Amino acid sequence: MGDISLPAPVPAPAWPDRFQHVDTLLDAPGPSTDPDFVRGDVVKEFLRNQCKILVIGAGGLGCEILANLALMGFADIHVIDMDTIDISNLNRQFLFRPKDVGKPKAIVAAEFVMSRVPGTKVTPYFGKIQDKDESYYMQFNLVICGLDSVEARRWMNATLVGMVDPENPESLKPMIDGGTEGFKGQARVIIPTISSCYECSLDMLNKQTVFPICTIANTPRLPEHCIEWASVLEWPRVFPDKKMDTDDPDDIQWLYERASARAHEFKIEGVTWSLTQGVVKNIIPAIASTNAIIAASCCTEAFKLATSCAPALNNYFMLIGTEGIYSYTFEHERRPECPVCGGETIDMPVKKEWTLERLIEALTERQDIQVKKPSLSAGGRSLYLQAPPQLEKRTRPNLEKKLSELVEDGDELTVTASSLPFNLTLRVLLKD
Amino acid sequence: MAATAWAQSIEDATVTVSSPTNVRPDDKTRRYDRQLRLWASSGQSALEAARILFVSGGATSTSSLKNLVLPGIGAFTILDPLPVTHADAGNNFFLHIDGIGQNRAEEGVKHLAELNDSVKGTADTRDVNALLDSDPEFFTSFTLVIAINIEPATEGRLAQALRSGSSTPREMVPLMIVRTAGFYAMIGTQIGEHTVVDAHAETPPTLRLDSAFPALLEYSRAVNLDALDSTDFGHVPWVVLLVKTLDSWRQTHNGEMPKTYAEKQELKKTLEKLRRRGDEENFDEAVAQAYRMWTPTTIPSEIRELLSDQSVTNLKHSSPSIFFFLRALSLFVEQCRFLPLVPTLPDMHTTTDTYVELQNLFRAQAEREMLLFEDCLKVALEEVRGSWEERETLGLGRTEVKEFIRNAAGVRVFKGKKWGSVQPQEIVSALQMELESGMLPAPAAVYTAFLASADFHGQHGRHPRPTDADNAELLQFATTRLTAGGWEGELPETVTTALGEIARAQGSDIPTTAALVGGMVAQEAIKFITRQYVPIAGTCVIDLIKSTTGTLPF
Repeated sequence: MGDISLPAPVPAPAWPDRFQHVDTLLDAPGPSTDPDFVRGDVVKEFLRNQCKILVIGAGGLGCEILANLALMGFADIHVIDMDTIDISNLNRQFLFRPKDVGKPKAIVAAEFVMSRVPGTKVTPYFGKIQDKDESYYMQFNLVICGLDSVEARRWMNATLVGMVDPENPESLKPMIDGGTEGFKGQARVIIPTISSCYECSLDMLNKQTVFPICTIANTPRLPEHCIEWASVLEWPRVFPDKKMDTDDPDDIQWLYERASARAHEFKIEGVTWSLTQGVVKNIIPAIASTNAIIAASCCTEAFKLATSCAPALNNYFMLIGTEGIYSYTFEHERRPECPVCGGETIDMPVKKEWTLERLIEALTERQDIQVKKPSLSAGGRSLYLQAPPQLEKRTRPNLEKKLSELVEDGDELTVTASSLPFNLTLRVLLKD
Repeated sequence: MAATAWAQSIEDATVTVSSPTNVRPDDKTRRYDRQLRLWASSGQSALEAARILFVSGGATSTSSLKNLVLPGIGAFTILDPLPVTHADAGNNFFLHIDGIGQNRAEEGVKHLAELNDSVKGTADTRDVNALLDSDPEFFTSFTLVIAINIEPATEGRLAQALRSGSSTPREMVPLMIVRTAGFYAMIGTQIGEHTVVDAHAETPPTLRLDSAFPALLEYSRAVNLDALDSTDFGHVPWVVLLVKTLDSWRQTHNGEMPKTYAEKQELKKTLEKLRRRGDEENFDEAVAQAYRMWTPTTIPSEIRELLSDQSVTNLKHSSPSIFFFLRALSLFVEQCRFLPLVPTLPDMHTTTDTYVELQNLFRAQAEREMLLFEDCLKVALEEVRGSWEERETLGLGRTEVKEFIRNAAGVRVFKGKKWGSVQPQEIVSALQMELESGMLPAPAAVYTAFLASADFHGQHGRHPRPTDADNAELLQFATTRLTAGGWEGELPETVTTALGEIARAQGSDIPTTAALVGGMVAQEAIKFITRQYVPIAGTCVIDLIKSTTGTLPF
């Protein structure tokens, strides 16, 4: 982190009635409150002096989550974010100002919340969640995720599920996860190994549009195909040694111009700067109001879990704000074959005449697995390895081989990938 | 819908070839990029022209305002005479402990204005009731009025002032009324007439394959599948495959459409039989879209209803442009049976040339229908003794015509009810319905608890507390309300639970409830102002104990 100094908490002055509103919920149980709820000073002491909560992400959801938690009385908050502030964040990430552009989100957010809500300690970490190990995550009572990446959520989920030690109740860390897109969003409560986990519901995600390389290379039809051509094929050809930076307007300009030229050549209309940027950065529309709803839902559940003043969400809240205020609350079921919390092996039906390459293609298409560039092995034998290059080269001939030459019906395959935070086991079912 | 100079809408931008506006976005466009991808520059200019009044400056008000200042509304006013208390500073992110004793509107405006330099914030420290007496026009000078946690009697007076302040429902300033208590909240509205110009419906535009337009039919018939080599065969677009398949089926069935389930399956099999290898991608796509062959292209029922509405059949020269378009649409539909074609072709497995060719067929047809629609628009204009030369000044120009056609299936017109007009029978029937369904949300029960709590407040001048005496009195108020609506016997558990929670909450404004409701209020405000997306019709009840929301029809 170099020369970035960590912000310090501001001590709270004498503040009678500070929690007058929140205390109505902590001084008396309601009709639905669990009988184990201990009203009054005990629960307040836990919330305000003992409970340690971790917020992952200090972006659209994260800013809201931090402000909410501080006002609700959580006083020991940690936040992790690896990003710096961009001008396009300012339409919703309300802890940041134009002068903060370029600074680390976690640090600016922590500083702002501490100055606005005296007595709150927010400890920022400007870096990746993967930098931290189990002993770090073990110190928290609760984790709230406000992330925009599936991969980071999978990693956090797998880590928290993996930490559960049945002998040690303290090892069970509830994970509350929020996500938004436009006027829609969802919040969910994951009790590792008890409720369904993030991995259990992977197949609920919208399938990401992936354009086949042959379309991009040979038969473009949409402006998006031309943009993909510019970024996936042209850039590496023209700049073999330079990595594309999608935050650099010069790079976007180059892509936009190349894509426009190609579109013109093929009589395709509609390549614009904005679309170019949207496609290469995979931009998801985001607004303050939706983030406010979902972050507040996450923090309501964190407050209920930390205090037991009301039953927590079981376990999924889905909001659709495009047509009225519509929401749906339901229990997402665990998946027995969930590779993270399930334990049962996943079956992979394949045809005997398939090549290994065809199997890999089928694997990457599975919505419940979502793996890119997998390496495969069977009983300790490497079938195909993506890296390092020497091993990739040695195993490459297998790609052309028929599955019947490589495996037996019922064999277990181990799948690994850099994007996969665990080893996946598949049972191959060979069919004619 | 006026075009602004500073940014081309994302949608507009994606349908035009590189034009001079396709330069690098300026700072403002970059700042608003993630929202412009939703409501485009037309929505943004509507927001920037909006002036919103918030009555009271509590936590729910500032939480709502945060979500409106960030996307750049034009101006807002907080009306609140009260000083900041210790409890206010404790539950409101836009108040600070240093401001205790200062005016709540002024302190709130100060901290909200920091969020966006281009938004004008005003603090008004007058009392709402005094202002309703002295200057009711003050309230009708806003685009939208939002009242949060004010006295129920004042809610009624405010609603009345907005009704009296307009001569027609169309001109009435919309009002949102919000109450919160602990984990509960409700959002109600009073609207005169609200028009949605773009509902952003997610159903893709129909391609009308059940009755292909002549050029498409001709094009499809000219494709001779047998004469194609395997590469070309694998690149015949699914649209063509479906039109061909249906066409030959009809030729052998006296021109009839497939009607029964068996006939539809037979048709699908005919399609499958055309395959050569079995794994052609274009056929995979065609089979997945096969339903389009027998799904009749219809006019959505909401649109059909709208077209026969008096505001459309009884057009006036002073009617807003949308009603001219709807009148024209109704004339168009009489002639053509369909909505005008939207030339958006989905991607499909085929070659570039074929795709472009097909796209041009759709565009040419859409152009023809657009001209026909303009003829209808001319007739509509002449019906009210207008002249075609006025079209631009009335907002009926070519650009607006194209935009209307693109969104025609998503146009809605809402007629609201006046605030406070709900009948006890309506509440009882909603309550009975939710008891019978046994589903999770119980909005009518929580709504009843809000009414009982307001009755209690009216009697005692304070919120109920979780004591036996207050609980008993709340139960009495709720019983009186429901009995008036025909309820017999004891109140259901959903209602007594809600009453217990309302008493426990003591009218508290919990930061997380405020934030959640503030998000919803802002979403609805954005929908009212931009006339995009569909706002709530009725009252939304939020229950954060059960983590549910439910909307009541009144």
